[in-house]
Amino acid sequence: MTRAIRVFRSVTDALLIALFAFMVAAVVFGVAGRYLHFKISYSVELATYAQIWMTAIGAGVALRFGAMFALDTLSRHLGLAAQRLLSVVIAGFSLLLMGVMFYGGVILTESGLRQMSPVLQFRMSWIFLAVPVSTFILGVEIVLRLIERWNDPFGGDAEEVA
Amino acid sequence: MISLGIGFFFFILIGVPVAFVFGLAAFVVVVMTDVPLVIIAHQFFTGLNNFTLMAISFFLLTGMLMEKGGLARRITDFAMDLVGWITGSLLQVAIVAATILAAMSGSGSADTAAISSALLPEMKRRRYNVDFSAALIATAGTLAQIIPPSTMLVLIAVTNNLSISALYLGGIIPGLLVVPGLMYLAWRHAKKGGPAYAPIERFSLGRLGVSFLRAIPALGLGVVILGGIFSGLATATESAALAVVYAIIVGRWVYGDLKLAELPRIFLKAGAFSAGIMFLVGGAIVFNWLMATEGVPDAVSAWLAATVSSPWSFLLLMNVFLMVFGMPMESFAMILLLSPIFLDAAVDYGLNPVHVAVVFVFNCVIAMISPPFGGTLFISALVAQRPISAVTRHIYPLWALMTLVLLLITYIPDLVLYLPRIAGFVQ
Repeated sequence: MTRAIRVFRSVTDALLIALFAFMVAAVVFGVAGRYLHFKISYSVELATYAQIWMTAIGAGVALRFGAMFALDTLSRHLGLAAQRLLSVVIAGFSLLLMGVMFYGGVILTESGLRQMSPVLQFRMSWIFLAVPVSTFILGVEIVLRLIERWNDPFGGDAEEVA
Repeated sequence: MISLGIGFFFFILIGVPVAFVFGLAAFVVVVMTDVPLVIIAHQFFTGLNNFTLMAISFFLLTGMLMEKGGLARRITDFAMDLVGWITGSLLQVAIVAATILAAMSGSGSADTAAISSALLPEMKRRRYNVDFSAALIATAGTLAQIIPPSTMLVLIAVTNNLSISALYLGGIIPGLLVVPGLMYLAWRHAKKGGPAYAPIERFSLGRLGVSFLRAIPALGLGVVILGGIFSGLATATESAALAVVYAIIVGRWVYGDLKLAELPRIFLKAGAFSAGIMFLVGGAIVFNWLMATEGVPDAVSAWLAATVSSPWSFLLLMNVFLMVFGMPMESFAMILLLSPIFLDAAVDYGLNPVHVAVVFVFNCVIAMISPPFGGTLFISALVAQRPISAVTRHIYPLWALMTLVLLLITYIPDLVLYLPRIAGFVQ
């Protein structure tokens, strides 16, 4: 189980790094193309779609790194048992949203089968797919966060960035 | 409208991440009305499908590369030779370094981290008051969000369809107005502080020249970003992407401080924080769409028109509201949630949206040092290894200074509009 989690997180981390690097490269090549006269009209579209996928993959990583802000006014005043209960409630609401967005994302992805991207002309379902994938990854991270922080639900982040 | 508001505050107060709160509050409304569920996913996607927003991610990455690549250190060294001869020299160095870094980085958090890491250990060694020093660095670090390139100015421009260049020019004078005030407060503190605050070194033109030459490659980052944007050669997003490449080249091959093996970790960290912000943007777009559908902006405008008679009273009301709301609320969320409402209403009062947008962002900047949740306050306290409450005790004079500048830029609009006007961005 631990190994599966480690592999899952390594894959999401690697994809996030690759997508971010791709975004930078696509925009820089777009600028270079404008001044060096090699036309790369699709760089804007590629970079924007990379941003969508980067957010999709990275949102779970952001949650793990504590890069998603939340108020701790209530939790600070509670004992451990009440904190655990509150963390379950928060995770429950968060999972509810992920479920709703996953469902909406699947419908959106199906509708994307009939739409083409403006420049590159590939099916928009490849881009809309980012929504259900994102909510799936976030769902997994929400559950893992709940388990990993059971003894200190509102303490330090599960994984600090060096 | 009521269910949207109740849902929003309920989820915020129990501690659901703000990025999820927008979506959950929207879900409550969707369940109570006939709006199809797919609209949440669709509006979320629409929010992220934006090329300009990418500038935020690139500026965050550039800030981290400046720290790891030694660019921030060269600028701090230059600031040391420039003002190291003044009483309370390290405090003055922090202010000057933060101002120069602000012109290259769009992230207050990254600048605060860089300056805190570089100066706080030495401040501790010299027996400076570390709590005051941390509070001062936290305040100086916020300049990155008002002096261009600022990620908050990008976000408010995207959210309200304003010109990024106009806002960047509008942020320069307000940012620079803060600097002399900070230097005075630092000097006054140092004068009372005794021998610990004696100048580090005598002024030397030769040494200043050498450190300036060493800092030139780092300072070139400002030319890449601001030169690109204001010359029209590149958009804000493109300039930000070029800045990433430039920072890597200078950090690795000019200064030699950046190891290529560190790049994946830096990209991962910046990517995670960017994704957190982008998810917030996506959720806010859903929420704002529902607010517009429910007629919230129109209702607020109508209420304001009936209650607040003059533009100046409106601005006062906005400032008070944002200062109070800014204490518990994250700044990016505040821009996404409230700026469309306030900027729409401001136009009805005949106010210039560029002016109001810069004033709005200045409020967000103050929120970054406002207890109990000020973002840069947390970072400097963390680096100083001091309790946040101890650092917060010293924030009030600095907070008062920022509020004074806020009042100045609110009621003397030319302080914001002069530069955009001479550049032809506003009438």
